[in-house]
Amino acid sequence: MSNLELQGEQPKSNGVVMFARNSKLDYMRIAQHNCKLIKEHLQLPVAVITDTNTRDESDTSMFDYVIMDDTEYTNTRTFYLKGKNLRTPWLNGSRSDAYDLTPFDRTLLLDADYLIMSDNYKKLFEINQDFCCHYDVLDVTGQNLYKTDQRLGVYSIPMVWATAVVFNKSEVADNVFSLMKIVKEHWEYYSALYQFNRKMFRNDFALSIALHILGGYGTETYRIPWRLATLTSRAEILEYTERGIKYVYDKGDSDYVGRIKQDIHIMDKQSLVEFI
Amino acid sequence: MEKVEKLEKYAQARFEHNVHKKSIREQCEKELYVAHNGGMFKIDQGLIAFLNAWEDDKIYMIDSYDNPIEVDRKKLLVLAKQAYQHAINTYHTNYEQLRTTRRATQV
Repeated sequence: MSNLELQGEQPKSNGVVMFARNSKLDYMRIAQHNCKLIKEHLQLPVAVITDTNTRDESDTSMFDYVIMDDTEYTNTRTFYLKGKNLRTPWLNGSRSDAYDLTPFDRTLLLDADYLIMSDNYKKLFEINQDFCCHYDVLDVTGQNLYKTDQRLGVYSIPMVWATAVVFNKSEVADNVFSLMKIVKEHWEYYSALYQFNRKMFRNDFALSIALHILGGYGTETYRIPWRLATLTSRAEILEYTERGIKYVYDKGDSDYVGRIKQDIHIMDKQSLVEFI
Repeated sequence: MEKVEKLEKYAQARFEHNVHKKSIREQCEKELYVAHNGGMFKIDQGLIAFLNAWEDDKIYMIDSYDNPIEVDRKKLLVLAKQAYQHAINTYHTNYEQLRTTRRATQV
């Protein structure tokens, strides 16, 4: 009997939530593909949070819940894709509303481009942690490109990643998302306080600040115990089959080729769309 | 010059091999975690030996989040052995495939 059952609680609903709002990049297509992977590997219901434009031009029938979010908050982000820069609106501002929007008691909140290829995240639905996320990234190309992203700003609080977050409907998670909203609303203030570039709002930064403060100023950790595997946008996808993703990493004179088959955050969203 | 190119190619192949090995090792690492009674435990040989050797069926153990968890020793032992065997067997299979191929991408 689990500790939750011992407390005499009702069975909780579990599920996965993704945001998918199209810009120059077809996030909905990525979310549709990931939805199939999630159902295959995690066997959980999937909710997508999208906007009217994206919904009207997409097939959303594979999702168990379609939740509308038409907020206008927009960033512009530059992606490095196939050696070229792509500047595109990046509708990432409402991530902090996930707590209010999720239909589940316990939620795995995922970036649409974090492809689920294993059942590892199922374990996180069986533990008594009200909130957890990744603190460490693995650059699968072996270039260690994210080594500078371990700490945030000159005050060096731990950098965490909003790519995959597990949370309960709970006081802890409610507080974390509420503080993320405050950080977003006062982005200039917090960027000056923690001394990082304020040009672009980043959920990772807002989450890092919220967890640092609410975790008793760094005395508590909300860590998912394994690393967040990431394929940098400097790697181009060559092939995507049941054997995994084959990529090439362009490093000056020589190209390095690799293959991966595990849960993976794909930064080259454009070439991903071409393969799904 | 030809020799240098050959050495460069060899170094590149070793790099790809090692990156791929790291990737399949990481996959194995993730599979070594099991959830039990609200806690998260990382399985290794020491944990399996401990669970095997302990006599009482109910024990308290510290999990990956530093929380003391009431553990059903027999249940966790079964879970631990399953997870360990699956993770290491998969790693072994993947590693053997990698070892016998010249380029990591042929895996």
